[in-house]
Amino acid sequence: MSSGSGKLGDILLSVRDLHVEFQTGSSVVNAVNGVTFDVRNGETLAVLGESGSGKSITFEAILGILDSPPGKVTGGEAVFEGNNLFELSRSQRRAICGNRIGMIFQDPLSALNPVYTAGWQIAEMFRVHRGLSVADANQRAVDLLKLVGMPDAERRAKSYPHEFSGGMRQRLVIAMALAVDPVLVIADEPTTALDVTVEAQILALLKSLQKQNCVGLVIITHSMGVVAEIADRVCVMYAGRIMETADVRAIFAETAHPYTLGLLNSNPSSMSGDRLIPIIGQPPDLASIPPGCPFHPRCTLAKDKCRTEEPKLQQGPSQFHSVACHFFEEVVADRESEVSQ
Amino acid sequence: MNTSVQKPGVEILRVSDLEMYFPIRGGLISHEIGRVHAVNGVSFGISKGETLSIVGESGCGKSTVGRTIMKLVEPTGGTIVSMGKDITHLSRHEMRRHRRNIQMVFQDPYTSLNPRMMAEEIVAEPIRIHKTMPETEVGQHVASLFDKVGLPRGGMQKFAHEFSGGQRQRIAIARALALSPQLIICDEAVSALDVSIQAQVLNLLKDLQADLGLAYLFITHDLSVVEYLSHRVAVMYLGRIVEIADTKTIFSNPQHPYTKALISVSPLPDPDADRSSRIILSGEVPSPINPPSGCHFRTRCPVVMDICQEEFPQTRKLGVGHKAACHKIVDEVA
Repeated sequence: MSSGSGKLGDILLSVRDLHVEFQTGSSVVNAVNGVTFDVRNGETLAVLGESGSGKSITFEAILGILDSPPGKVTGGEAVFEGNNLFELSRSQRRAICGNRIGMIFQDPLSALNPVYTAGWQIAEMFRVHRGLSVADANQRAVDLLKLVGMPDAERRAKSYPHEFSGGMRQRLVIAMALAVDPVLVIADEPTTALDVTVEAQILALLKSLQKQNCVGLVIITHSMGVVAEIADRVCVMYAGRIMETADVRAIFAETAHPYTLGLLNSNPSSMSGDRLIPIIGQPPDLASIPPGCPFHPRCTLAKDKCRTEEPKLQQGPSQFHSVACHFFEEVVADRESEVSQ
Repeated sequence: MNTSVQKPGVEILRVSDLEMYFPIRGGLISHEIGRVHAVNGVSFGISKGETLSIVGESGCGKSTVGRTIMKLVEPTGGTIVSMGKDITHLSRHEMRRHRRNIQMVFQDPYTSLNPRMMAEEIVAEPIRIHKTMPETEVGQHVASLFDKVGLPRGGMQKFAHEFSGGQRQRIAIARALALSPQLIICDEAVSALDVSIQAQVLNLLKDLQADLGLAYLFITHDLSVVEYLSHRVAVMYLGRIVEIADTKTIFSNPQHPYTKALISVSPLPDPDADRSSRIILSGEVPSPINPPSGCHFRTRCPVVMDICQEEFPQTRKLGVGHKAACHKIVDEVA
């Protein structure tokens, strides 16, 4: 496993103003509405959001695995190693994504082919993308299984996916994602389907592999716990927009968006009083996102401006901390007074 | 069955040595070729107005415990005493009558609500079946249940699919409340919900408990929810309770190595939390078809000893209401 090209901190993937729509019957669902972010070499970016926030769709669109139709990229660009992925042909894009970007899905069983052995499926990556012989490819597959902590790798390479437990299957999928030395790995809810003791194992594995190989890692998750565990930087998504993005410590300690704060306060394990403070109401229907700030109907700080004018993602409390809120200063001030009490 | 330890509230449920195995059939005449020991000698009690959480990983038998108490499956051993009545061997008919005292809320509000019934009918159905009030009063009662769980009365004529996940779970809770039960079994009732919605439902459950004096048996894998909601916690591993204590003790002074590991790896929403002392267990939960000999946890236990292979550790009393089953604990006490 060699490290990717580029230096630490170089921008690997740059997404600008991405828009994705879904045509459903007569209505149009705006799943992603102008998302802009960068992924850097050697960095773990967590994309945090609840269901329907557009976090998975964003990356499916970037990788070209969006169900299309009904899904469609209607604007923006995603530049990866100098190429705008949306302008490439299918085969060019496949070559880039297959060779340079690894993907880990939430449900490992549906990401694996049930009729081939684990070793064969991993070796396939080497045969197809590297042109290795069957014997060489198989050897590389066993090496990879060892790397992801599979006990008894030689024997297990000959097992079929259904013979593995959930955690071991996720290790297989991670091995496949890492097979061809990607420079960028995207993991969509990689531990959500796993038990908590196994989740800890897989997060530790992802962390150490990312350090060793110095790849860019994107973790798509709904869990504040996972974010705190593994991320360097965080994007918080809501209604297909990025509401706040900052260094992981700043997200937790200098929270500037009312939605992020709401998520933190809803989390039973970060609770200070004897009662949770949930976010009121429901996430918006993406077919009719409220005007102005999409969060305003649930926001306790909402004012008239929030109902009419959509806040842009702008610099927040510090240089690398951006936030899409007209009144983020109030949130920061409130939070500071709360902490000092 | 009032022989157990004195508790502030009246004990409304007592489960003793509960055992549930499922036969595995195979061969030509489909005879029994093995057994899944889903629940293996589980005992606990729940008092009025109390929340007991059962926490454990998938396959530990926590859901089977809940289903057995509801008598959705017939236990193969042990006794279940509810409201002073032994319900272990009640007939289907008698159990149906008794079930108004114990209701259940399931994990998935998408499959636990009938898509062809209006929300109002779903909530009224238990009342109509048990005929607890005249038909003329049902409508009013359902409306008050809608108020209680924070659903708009305007939604009474809507179908389940017209509600969001959190609202559907509120419908399920309203249905569970319809017969004014003493105990509600919540099987992963908030696990499928987004965190902001989960917090709303958790607060609702807490408020209902304070108002109505409900007891909950809360079955979950999520320790943060457990800490927020429960008075006492039972930790299960492969069909057995390995440790049971009040919530504060479980989190601040866990004794069983599995409890310790579980608490140490529970993801904390704090990037600066001390993660150096965490115990990452190797491997995964073994199969309940062929559990390890002796202590079931020994294959993953960081402090395993020779005796663990041979002998199942007896449950030891460590303090008021605090019990754990581990050979190591015996050593330290002795």
